[in-house]
Amino acid sequence: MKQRFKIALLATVVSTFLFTSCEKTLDKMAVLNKNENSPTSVIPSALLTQAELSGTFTSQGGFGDGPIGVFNGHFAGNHATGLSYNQYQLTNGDLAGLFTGGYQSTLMNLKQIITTAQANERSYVGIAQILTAYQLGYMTSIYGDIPWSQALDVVKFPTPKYDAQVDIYAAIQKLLADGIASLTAGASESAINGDFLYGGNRAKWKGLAYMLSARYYNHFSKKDPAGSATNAIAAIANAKAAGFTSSSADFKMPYDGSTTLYNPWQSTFTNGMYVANKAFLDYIMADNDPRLRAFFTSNSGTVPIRPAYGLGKLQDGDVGTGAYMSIGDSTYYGQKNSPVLFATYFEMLFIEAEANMRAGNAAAAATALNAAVAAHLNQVISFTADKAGIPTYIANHGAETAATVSMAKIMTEKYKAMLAQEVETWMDVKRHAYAYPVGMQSIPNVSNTSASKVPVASTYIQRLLYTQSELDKNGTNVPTVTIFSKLPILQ
Amino acid sequence: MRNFLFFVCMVVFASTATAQNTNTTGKITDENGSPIVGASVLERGTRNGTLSKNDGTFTLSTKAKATLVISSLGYKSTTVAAGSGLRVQLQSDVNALSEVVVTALGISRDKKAISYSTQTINAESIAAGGKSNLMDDLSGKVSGVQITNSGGQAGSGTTVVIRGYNSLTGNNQPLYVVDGVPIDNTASATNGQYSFPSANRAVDINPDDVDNVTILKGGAATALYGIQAANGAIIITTKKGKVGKANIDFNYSRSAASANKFQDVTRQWLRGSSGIYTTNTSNMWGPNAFSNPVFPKGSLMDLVGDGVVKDVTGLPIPFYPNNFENFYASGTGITNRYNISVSGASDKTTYFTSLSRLDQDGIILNNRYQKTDFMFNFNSQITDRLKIGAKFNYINTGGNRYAQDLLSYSLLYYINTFDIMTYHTTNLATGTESYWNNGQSSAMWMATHDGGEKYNVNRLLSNFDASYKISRDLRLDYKAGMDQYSEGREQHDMIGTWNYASNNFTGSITTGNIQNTQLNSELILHFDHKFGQDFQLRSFAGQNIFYKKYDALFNSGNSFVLPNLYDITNTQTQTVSHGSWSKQTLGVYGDVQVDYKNYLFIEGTLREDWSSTLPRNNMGFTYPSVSAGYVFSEHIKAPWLTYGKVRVSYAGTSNDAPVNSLETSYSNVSPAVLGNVRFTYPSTVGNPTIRPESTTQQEVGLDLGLFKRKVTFEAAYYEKRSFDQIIYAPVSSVTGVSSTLINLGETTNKGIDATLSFNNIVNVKGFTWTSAFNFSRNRSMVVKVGDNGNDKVTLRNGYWGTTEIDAVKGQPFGAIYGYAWKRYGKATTDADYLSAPLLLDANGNPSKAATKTLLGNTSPDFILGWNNTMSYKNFNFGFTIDWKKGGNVANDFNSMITYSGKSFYTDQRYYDPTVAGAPANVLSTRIYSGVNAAGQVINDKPVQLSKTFYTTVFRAIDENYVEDATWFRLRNIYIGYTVPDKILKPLHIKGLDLTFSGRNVWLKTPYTGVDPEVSAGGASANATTGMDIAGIPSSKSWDFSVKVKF
Repeated sequence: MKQRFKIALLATVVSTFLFTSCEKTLDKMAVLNKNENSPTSVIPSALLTQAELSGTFTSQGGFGDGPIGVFNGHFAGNHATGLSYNQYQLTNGDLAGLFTGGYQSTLMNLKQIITTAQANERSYVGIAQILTAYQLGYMTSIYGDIPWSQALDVVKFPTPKYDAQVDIYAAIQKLLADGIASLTAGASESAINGDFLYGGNRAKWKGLAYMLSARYYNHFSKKDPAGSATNAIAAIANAKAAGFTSSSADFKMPYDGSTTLYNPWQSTFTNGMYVANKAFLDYIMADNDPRLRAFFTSNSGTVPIRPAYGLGKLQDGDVGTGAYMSIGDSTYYGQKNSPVLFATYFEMLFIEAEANMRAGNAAAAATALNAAVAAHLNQVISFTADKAGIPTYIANHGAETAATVSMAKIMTEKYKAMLAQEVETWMDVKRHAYAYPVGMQSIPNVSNTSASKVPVASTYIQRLLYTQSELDKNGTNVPTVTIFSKLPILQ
Repeated sequence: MRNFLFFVCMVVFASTATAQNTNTTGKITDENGSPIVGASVLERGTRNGTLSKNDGTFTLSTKAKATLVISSLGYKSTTVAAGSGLRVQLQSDVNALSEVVVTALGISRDKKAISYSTQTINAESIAAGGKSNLMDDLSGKVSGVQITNSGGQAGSGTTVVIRGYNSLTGNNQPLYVVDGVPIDNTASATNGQYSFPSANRAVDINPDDVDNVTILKGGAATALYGIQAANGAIIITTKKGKVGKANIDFNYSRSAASANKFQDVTRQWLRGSSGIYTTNTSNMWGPNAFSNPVFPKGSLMDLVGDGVVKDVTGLPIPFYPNNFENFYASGTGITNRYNISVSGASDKTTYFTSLSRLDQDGIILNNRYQKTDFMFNFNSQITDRLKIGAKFNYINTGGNRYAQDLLSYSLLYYINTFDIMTYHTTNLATGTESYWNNGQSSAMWMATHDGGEKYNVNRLLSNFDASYKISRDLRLDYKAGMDQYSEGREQHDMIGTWNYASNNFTGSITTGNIQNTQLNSELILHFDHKFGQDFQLRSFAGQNIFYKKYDALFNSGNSFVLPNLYDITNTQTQTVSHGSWSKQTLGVYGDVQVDYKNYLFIEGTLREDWSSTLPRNNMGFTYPSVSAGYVFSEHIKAPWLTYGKVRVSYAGTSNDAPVNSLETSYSNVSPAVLGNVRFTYPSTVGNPTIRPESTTQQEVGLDLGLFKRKVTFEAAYYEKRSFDQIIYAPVSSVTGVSSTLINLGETTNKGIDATLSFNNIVNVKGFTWTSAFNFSRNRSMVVKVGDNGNDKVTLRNGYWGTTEIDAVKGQPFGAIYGYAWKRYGKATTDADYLSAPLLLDANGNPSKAATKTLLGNTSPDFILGWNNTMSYKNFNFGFTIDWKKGGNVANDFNSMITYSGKSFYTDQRYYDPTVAGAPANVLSTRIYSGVNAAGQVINDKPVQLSKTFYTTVFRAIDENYVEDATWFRLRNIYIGYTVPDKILKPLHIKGLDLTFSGRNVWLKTPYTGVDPEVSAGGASANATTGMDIAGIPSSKSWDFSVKVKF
């Protein structure tokens, strides 16, 4: 009996020991599964830098704006998919990065800033709100209805619904207002790090928020001509008051030409995919526009493609020779260290001109237009020889009066100045039903293996298609559209 | 306690010291009088015994009137009285399987007693393969296994998939076990900038050291290995010393390799556009090379690559149509292998040591692979009860290899006006690469300017094992093993090399360092007991600890500051990436095998594993296996039936989660920008409730030995179901992530593997012929890959074209989707869409369908290997023919060269005659037959085969690039001569063999690209075959070898 008791006691002790040591071993093992290279939380500045270097902020310029510039008539596709865009041959797979990159890298990281920032990090929240507004504005200009109220929460909404475009714009205006409020609340916080676009300058961010507010009010020119004009003009006044008064306030990507900060137009230039559209190039050359060399390169030699001076490509289905003028790499836009412009002072002046024109205030419209033209010319022209052409050009196109100014003139000048900012240009031409710039737009032709060239469509392209991955993974929510379906706010 | 142990030890030692007083000698032979080596001679009733030597003789000290029990595997045992000068003849036992197989955990079993599929390939058969890579040498010799080499560069890896792909996005490669210790088989293919044909680490094993390889195919075979062997296991046993005099073996072989097949191309068009020569393009849409074209006025160029630009106006335009072929013959392709081994044994200790060296020059200039391998093992019977062994294997591999994507880029654009072999000097004016095309670096520049990746791997495999016999029935085995390697990599583009990524000539460098340590500890207690006359129990229980740490650090630097200093610190910007992780598993397991009267066998196993990659409260998981076999030939007697067995098995296996998948962690984005460190939300969120993934497998098998085993047949039918698979299920990117990690995927695999052998089927006048067929057929089905209606996971996208290889619900694994021609009357989702007539426009033009359609599948219908060995007197001869039927490959490379005007598709052309200067008579058209939108037949409208047609219409049709990848090849052929003993004896040489062999020397396939066996996916864990992007040719080789035995 005693013996048995001893054995039982021993067994209990041993098994208890084994069990507890086993549990301890498993605890130790679990620690091995911690990610050694990546943290589970980070500081907002690190997320801010990444958000600013992704999504629309890096897809603008180059292969994002290039194809859309084809639809606008600034560029023409020269080979491969460029030819497809020439002829409106779009699939759901095309330019998917504009959509997926926007949500996945930009908006998601911005959301992390907004939801995880500490109480003393309101400034980061403010910047994130303004950047979110910009990102949404960019995407809705291309796609119309997009997901937002249910976006960015895979646990709650694995298949997010698409919000109506007007609701997206409402969200944008609210984000901009919230952004200004957050920045005001954070005015006395310590310096903002990781802000690559404005160097943590709160005033510049606030000015931008007002400027963007004006831009997105102005998008409603069709739905609400008067209201949009009033709202835009008011926002512009606020922007000016906040210091958005010169090109130094411009919202832009400051590429420095290093391998990590490389102007994406370079790639389209070396690849030769998008070149000067013949119609646009002929137009500015006939007009002796002093910005020719700021727009398109004409040098030849050791650069990968050898543009011939004055040669633009037809926007058709034929493979080109490669000898066309292009946006790189001695222009204002296409050098390795050229900035990519997102929202500028000259654009705001054009918006001011357009809104005033619509509001019936022609004098203010003329003043704004003249200022806009001068601002753009002075900003982009760098060659001394070209600068000599500025006065003549201003005399011809930038010296309007209340009597001479017209919507056609405003939008045509804006069209030239907004080269390379193709999403906003696209919104402009669509808002005015492709009426401006006068005479420069035509339905592209297809020439395939047939003898005669025929138009590809009877109407202009209005949008990109929703991405294939959305059709695959969120198909029931994706609105049914074609490339000719007008955006809801333009219907 | 210590005293007690001492007492036990004393007893053990004392029992070995028994009285011995007479010397028994003898010789053991078979029926034909040939000596039997290694036969066991045991004094009955004692543990006193020895083994016969090489000449069959033995000496044993015994008691005077002892009885000796003499036995050898494959022979009937016999007893004789002790004495001197005995002559013992053993009768062969045709009923016994003369095969002992190594099963899971290194346990040896009589093949008869196991009831699941295994296949063993011995050293001779491996040696006949004659290649530097062990796994490649198994091609055609095993069934149920698909072996795919990753290309013709020296030192590239091999993908092995046993019985089909189990996992949709995880590991599909088997576990490699060397001498009972699992080894690492990682392949890291990218250095963060380019992708390299890097080797999976199983290639490090020296084929000359290998005694045999056993493939464990089914779940029941591998269940005991636990999670690591969820995809089957390859058990490699290295050579051991044998009792007898020391053997010294020396092998030398030299082989010459060359590319075996090239992409089909057109060879008549020059650079240009619309039939006119121009330097505005690098594409071949210019004049016909045979129309005596000359350079147009004002042509300034460096034509010969001497760095001097000259006016070449009016000179004939040179034409180098064979640049591809010449480039892939720029290396010598010579391989030298040396191997020396010394082995032997005393009565208690065996040892084996070898040193080998391999120097391989690839078929591309400066593509090299070197391997030095040193191995030493010994096994010693310390006492009657205690046996220990240790192994030490040091392997150094290294070489120089090229980024596949860079080679492919360069070659597909290479302009045939220049000779690739000579056009690679520095431009004197600019100091940069004398480039043949602006914006493209030349492959030959890379080869001649040190542009390859240099790598060096130091690996140490070591193990220690001990076995202690506690009593007659109980034995305790312990084995500890370590696999440790470090790999260094460096690749640079010198200043002056065109860099794609940064569009400049300022150079770049990438260095990498990979460290891997893997430890394995195995403790097993065996209990074998015979219950009465009829029941034999074999059982064991064990415990396993596995630990692994992996660390890879890569640094990329751009723009060198100083010339000729290739160090990461000498660059202007650096990008760092670091990936490291560790994991540990614990396992306990048990195995019980019972056999009844040696004809009925039942075995059951159970294993529980705990893995660190699973949630802490759910770390453990259990899986069982049962198998049973019945040797029916014991009861069904027929003169032709020597042996017959049916077997069934069922097993569950499991796999743990990927490391670090429970938490959501932000990823660092390198490089920092202007001093700002970046982090991003990951594309996949962690899943704290992840469960292990499971596979169940059923198998029935039949083993037959007919006509005294002249004919043997082994076949198995299996069904596998993998479920709860951990997959990165794609979700809408609007959610902010691209996938969620969930237990969702489900696939099934059903198949047959069979081996039919004719052993010495012809045996007349000294001529023998043994022939074996290995057949593998696997049918996979993707049951579930996502929820919310997501039925597709894309495994691989085409680089140039829009084909994709997918796992699609309701399709076999590896479905190829892409755009087809637009057709009439059928939706692209219809299974027979491709058989519908083309829908043509009024001018007879075909066009692209609006959505992608199913174009094929990468899985083959079956693989059949036919393996033959023959001998006549001192000659032996053999060959292996391999046939893979069916399965498609997407020829993505051909898609791109259609664009650049090099594909054979573009041989016939139409150049617009209205363009000034266009060549006359280049006006080819093609009539597509189809129907118009109203269904009326159109078959008389010629379509002009213009550049625009090819580049924008034809090339966009992926259907044109999905090809049948059936192949038929002479995998291996050899003839050998064994120099007779009477010549060698005076020279004190025990053996001398001369062999001449060829590998992969003949290939027949309808595929138009390079060898369709090539896997452009490389040898990574989930390597998906069937997408030919890089198009690097595979190689064939002729090999001469000498083997000397001293």
